[in-house]
Amino acid sequence: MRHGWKQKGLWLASGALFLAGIVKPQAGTANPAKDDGAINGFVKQHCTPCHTKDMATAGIVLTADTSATHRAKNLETWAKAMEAVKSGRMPPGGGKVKPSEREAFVKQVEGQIGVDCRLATPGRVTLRRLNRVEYDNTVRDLTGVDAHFGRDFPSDDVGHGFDNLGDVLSLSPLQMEKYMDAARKISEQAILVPELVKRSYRGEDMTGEGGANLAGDVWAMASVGAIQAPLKVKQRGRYRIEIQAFGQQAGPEVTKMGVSLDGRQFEVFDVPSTRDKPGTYSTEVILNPNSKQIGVRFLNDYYQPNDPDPNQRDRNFFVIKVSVEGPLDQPELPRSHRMLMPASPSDADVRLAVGRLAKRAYRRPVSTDEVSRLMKLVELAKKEGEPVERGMQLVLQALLASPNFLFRVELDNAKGPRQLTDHEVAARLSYFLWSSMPDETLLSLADQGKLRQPANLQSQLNRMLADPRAGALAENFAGQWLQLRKLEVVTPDPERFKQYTPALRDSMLGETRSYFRYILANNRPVSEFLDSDYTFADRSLSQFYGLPDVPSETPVRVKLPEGRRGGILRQASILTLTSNPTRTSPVKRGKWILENVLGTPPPPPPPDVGAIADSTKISGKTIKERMAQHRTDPTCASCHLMMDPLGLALENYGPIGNWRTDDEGFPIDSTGELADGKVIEGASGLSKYLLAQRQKFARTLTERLMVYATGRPMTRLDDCFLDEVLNGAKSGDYKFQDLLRGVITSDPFLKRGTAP
Amino acid sequence: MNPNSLNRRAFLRGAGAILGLPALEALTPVTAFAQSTPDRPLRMAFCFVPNGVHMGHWRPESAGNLGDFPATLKPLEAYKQHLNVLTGLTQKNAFALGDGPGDHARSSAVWLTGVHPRKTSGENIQVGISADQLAAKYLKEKTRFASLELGCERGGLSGDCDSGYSCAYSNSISWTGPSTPNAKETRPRAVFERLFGSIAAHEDAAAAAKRRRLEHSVLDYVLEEADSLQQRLSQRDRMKLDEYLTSVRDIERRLVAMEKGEGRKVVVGQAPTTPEDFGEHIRLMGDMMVLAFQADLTRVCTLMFANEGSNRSYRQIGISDGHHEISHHGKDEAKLAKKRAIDEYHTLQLAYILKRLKETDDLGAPLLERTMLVYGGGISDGDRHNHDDLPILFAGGDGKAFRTGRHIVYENGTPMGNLLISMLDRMGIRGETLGDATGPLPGLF
Repeated sequence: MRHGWKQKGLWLASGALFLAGIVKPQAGTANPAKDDGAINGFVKQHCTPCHTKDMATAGIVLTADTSATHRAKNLETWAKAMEAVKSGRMPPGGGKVKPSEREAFVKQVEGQIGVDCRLATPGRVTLRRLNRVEYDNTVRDLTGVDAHFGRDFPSDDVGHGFDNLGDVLSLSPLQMEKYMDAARKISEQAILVPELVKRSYRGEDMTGEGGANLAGDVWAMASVGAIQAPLKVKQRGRYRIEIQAFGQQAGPEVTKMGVSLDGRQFEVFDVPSTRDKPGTYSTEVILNPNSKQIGVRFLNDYYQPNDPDPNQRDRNFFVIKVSVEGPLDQPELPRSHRMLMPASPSDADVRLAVGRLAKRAYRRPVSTDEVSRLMKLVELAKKEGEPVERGMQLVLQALLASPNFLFRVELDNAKGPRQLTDHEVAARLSYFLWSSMPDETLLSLADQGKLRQPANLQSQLNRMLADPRAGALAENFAGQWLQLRKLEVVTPDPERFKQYTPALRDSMLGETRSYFRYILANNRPVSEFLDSDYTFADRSLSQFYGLPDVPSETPVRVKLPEGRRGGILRQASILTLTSNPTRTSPVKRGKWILENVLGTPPPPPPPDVGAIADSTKISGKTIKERMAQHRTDPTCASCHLMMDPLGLALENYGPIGNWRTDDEGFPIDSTGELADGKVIEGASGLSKYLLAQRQKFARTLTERLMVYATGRPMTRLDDCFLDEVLNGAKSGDYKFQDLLRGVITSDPFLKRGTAP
Repeated sequence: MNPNSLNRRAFLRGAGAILGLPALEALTPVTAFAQSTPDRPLRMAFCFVPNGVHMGHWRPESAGNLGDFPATLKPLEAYKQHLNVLTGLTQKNAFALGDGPGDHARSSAVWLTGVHPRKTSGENIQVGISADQLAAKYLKEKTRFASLELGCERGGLSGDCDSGYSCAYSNSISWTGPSTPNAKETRPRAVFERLFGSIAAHEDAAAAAKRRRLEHSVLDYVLEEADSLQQRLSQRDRMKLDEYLTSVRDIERRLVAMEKGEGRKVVVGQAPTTPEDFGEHIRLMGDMMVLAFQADLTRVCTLMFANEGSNRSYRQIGISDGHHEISHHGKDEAKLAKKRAIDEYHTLQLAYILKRLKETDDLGAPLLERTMLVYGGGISDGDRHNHDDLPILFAGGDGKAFRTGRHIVYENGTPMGNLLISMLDRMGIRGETLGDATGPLPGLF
């Protein structure tokens, strides 16, 4: 195995590091201490060989400057250094460091980088653009059009694990083009512009085929042929088709014509009339915006050149014009139309409707001036000879493209942190819990200035969680926190895992989502994510798990027998998305646990590390034996000693989460030894180990919730707020809704800090 | 208007057959409005492949005129005289330079910018403006689309894309500005509708003009909104809104261009849907690029065959494990063989694109004659993650305009930016700088 010392490339880096700039040094956060000398000695001996400016191993740079000032300016760096030393992960091959030395270093640094919570500020969120999901949901709730244009938008940028962070979401020209396009299409779908078609087609307005020839202004068919009149109607409905035509009659039959819509004949007429007195033939048909053409066909050509009667020799057919008129009935109006249009076309009513729509689109009261500017669009449409419906379309189109709609605007206060307005709080709540805009209840509480009252926040939280829109939390929050969205792109080897079909994958997703919703809705302690005696399964998942048959196509709660399943870590979704296509990856599983359960993500591996052999059979070694090399090399061991044992405990679950007792014929050994010598035995041992750290897990989940809710990463200063949320939920063993309540009543959620 | 610019035809390959439509339907003419161009403009295209290539099967044996092609280049045999293989080019700013792991993300971000990206998994992404966008900036008045960004893989999933680097770096080679990645379109239908319009072509002139007037008033409204909002925002938020303003103005410019535009007429088929087959997907995107060039809707195009670090499997050639995992071959023979097969599969798609460029008519001559196409990636060996001695092909000129048919060996470490500067020079864009580029690349043309 090769490792990265020789390379300029480095083998440890922090996933996310926020240096000075976010955290302003504050007088008093670091007490100048006398024992800088001891810290300096430790750093020089154990840290600077790697963590130099040039190498920046793990993104950590420590120099000879270990002064209190440096520490105050680089809180995040020092916090990471302290954590690494405390956990024994650093320095690598740590045996050389005396425990007392280690403790002294940790104590000294810890004492000085602690955050003074009196100085903690609520933090500041950068202007947040609606992401794809939020856009679609908002359009649905604003207009009643459930059209999913967002699915075709470019992917949203992801940072710190989520796709709803203000600083991270960018806006490219292509994205803007899509917004404009969607705005137009949505307004056309939402509001119908009444349109009466009355059009006559003559001569070159139509095209001919077969025996059809244009003679002057009349289409003549001397043999079987047809003409086509191109259609363009905007509204579906019943239309009248009139054909003015005549025949040159001959033979036993009267002239016949067929009328068709897009090639399908729906009416046949006898055409007994003649040139001196052409007839008008009228029929009705349903047309829609996709209808392309009306065809008129000569059906019964007749030619007997030898007939003694010259008038009986040749039957021909002539069309003078085709007319289309309609729709004949009042069109059926979509719900969105009734919802958005004014009660009457009077100026006062239109103004009212425009103001109401603008307020909901901007999620805040709008000024008279703003309404007046929108009214200009209605007036312009009128000037162009268009009806008020077209004017309202333009208003909706403009609102949907406006920055006040596409971004969630919260203005800065120059003088310092401020409370958010009630309307801003309404939007924060609705986008957090629903990934959508505030509804009437939230807006009206905000109008009355009452939303921020704690009792109202509590009752709104309850109400909103009971609403079906809260499913967005499972989709968007859990989908990203647990990385469930990855399941859509991982591809277990189809040769080896024939059971793994898209349907089974959906069943797996269904299990984890339902499980999340259950814990949330029933306000269970979040430690139930780690172990439980129940799960959610549908028919195919119950078969896959070997459970008694579940006669349901959707996941239902099932009691689990002792042993194999229970908790998210033993769910097939998580086990699959942390595997390679052909084998399990204890490293990925261990990493997943460190990141999402314990909140201590390991640094990424060095480049050039190579991978362990894929196949147990070919290498003749179990995966555990193959991974042993991680432990012998001190540079690998510092991280792998944390990851591998956690992942190895799940070895009884194959690459698609399938239960197994052997791997390609080799018996499974699912014990793992942690850095401190503690042994974890199998999945149940792992559950016990993690349950003992439930507080850490609750903290990880809270931190994730806060990032998702506020749209910004958490900094060291936010520890204070996280502590508050956790303290508030501790007595109930960290129930999910208690954590949520803590989040929505925290300063970072209800207040806005100043710009740096 | 040049009489030749009428009646030019491009048939979208097989569109009628795919959709089972009568030929008449499939060939409904759609006029692509572009500004009239009497001469044949030069175009530039960049095709990107991730995870490095197996250089052992890529590098021709000797410098000078191209002899027998190594395996990976074999599919390009027919275009040997139309391309140069360039070795030794380097993007040194893709190396860690103190930032630790993340070579995949860096290599794509640096490929056309030459600038070392800021390491961040979220806020404050920063690299530099890319060569294609430098060109687009100069050419934007001339065509309806300043540039076209295409790809075959959507970006963005949970988590960082690479060791603490934002997904924006792995998923974008085109950057309008240091902090604005240019989103790419991955669905052929969407590209088609963008280029040729989804609004019915039969709208009469008066109705179309009215519609444009009304649309323009919507644009005016939102610009006014943005301006007034801009004044109330603080610095950081203003940067975000700037992205919005720039984009809306770009759309406004295009609307104006469309109003006065007349120009080349191409006949295209129906909008294609996204195919299951990955190769077919790449080829369709190549078709879109060729059509856009032919109709002179744009002169600058980037096409990412896949995102950097892509771990897709290539089942169509019997490879079920992921590309990224294979690229970490650790000199394992089986993995190296698979890597080679994937590389070859990619060059096979390139061969199709070159074929289309060669067969497509550009005012009486092959489009390839007036195209400069760069193909390659920002990683050399996928296992070592090195960014020197990059796999780069330069194609174009149809064997006439440029001195092609050669393997040019540059001293290892020569900035790849120099190649990009040379191309910009050729486009008539002189004096631009790009990352660590030191000047034009000698001997290229």
